[in-house]
Amino acid sequence: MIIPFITPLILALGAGLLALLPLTQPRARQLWLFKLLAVISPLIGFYVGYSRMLPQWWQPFPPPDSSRWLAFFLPVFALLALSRPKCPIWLISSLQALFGAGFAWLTLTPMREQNWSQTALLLSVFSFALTQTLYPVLLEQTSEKTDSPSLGLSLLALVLGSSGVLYLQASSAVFTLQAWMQAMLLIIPIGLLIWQKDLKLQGLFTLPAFLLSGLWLNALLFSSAAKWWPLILLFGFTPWLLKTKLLSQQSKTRRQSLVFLLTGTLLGIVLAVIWLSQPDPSMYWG
Amino acid sequence: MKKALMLFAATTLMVSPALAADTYKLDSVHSHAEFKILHLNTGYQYGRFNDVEGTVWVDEKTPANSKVEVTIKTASVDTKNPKRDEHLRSADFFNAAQFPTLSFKSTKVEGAGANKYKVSGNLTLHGVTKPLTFVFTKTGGGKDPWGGTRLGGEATFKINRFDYGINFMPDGLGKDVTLMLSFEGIKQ
Repeated sequence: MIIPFITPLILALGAGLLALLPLTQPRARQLWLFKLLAVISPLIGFYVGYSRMLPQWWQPFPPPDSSRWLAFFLPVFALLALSRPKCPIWLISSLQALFGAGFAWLTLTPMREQNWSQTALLLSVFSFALTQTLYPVLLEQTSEKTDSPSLGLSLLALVLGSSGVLYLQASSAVFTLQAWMQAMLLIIPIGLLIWQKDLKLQGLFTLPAFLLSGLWLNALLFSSAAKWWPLILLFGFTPWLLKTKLLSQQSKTRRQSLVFLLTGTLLGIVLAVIWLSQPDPSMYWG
Repeated sequence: MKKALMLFAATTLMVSPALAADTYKLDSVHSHAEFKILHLNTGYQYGRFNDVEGTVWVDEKTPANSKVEVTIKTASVDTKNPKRDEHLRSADFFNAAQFPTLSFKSTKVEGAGANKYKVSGNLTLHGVTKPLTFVFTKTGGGKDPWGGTRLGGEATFKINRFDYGINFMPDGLGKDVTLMLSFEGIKQ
């Protein structure tokens, strides 16, 4: 059971890292290539891993199953991520909101057919569009204002990983694998940010943040996830702790490590509480 | 006008095969839809659906007039492990929130020997409709202790779950799912 579960993760990471091959050529190491690969490599890795989760590399379009729209929207958000440094933020945010609303509308197809009220539908679409537009922008600003770009992405990886555990609790291994693949693939932009100091953070949160919020929408609609579980998205904002007096006297690396460890511990406690509060806290492995 | 009505009635009777057949409503207490699938290339796992409904129209003299319609609620899946059932109901497999039922509607029934019928029709599962043909065996029939008339039958067939987009865990679970249907119908 474990091997079929791990194979997509390993393949995703392998393919994502392979996509960085152009950087082995010293001449090719231009800033634009770093920017491009920081977005595209994780996307390639994700698709390779995703194709291993399912027996065919292709999926029917439009997907009969509404929980499978996510993979079709990722290239759109990758384009938005790449355009982010060059376009005004209002334009990118408007497009993000528009595509996010479109994604939510399509994902809610069964609910439209099952006579959800117009108010409930519009409220769901609006909430999702707003969340997935604001979330990456706020994460980006948090990282910039606390001067912790790689910590911001590391914490997002932590939130993605924890979300994956919760999807497993909610009986959806498909969502778990997608979240864990993306969490692992964040190693790439984190590594590139450390390697190339001139690389800006702008746009790097767009794709993983859309994937994470999209997975939460799916989990709430198509699995037994509790309505309050998406609150763990707030753990992405813990870099603000760097500004507290308690940590201000520590060195930068030490402060960032402490925030990472503290966030990881708090998330661990939340996951343990959720697991122990299950009616039957036994893990089912398929 | 009277002639026209009679002509219409006669024509309707001729073109509507089900009208010439006996109608049996499935007795859900005595009808079963079970399945098995190979797990980790090792052992078969069995499960069943607890909510089976349907109607069978049977014309033993002219099988072509017969018809089968069965609807099963996907949320009623039962594999004697509640966690596994929850997983099967999720988007990983049946996605019961979006596809609450799976159904079969026959399009053609032919005789296939004593008490056997070749049934062709469409199976709709996980939002995908595909043609399916299987052999249906009449297992018995007659008066029941309560004065009604019953008919029993069964059919076993295989489907490829990937054809229906139920394709998660291609390495962990086999692609072929064997479905075993057994029913008792009460004549209406």
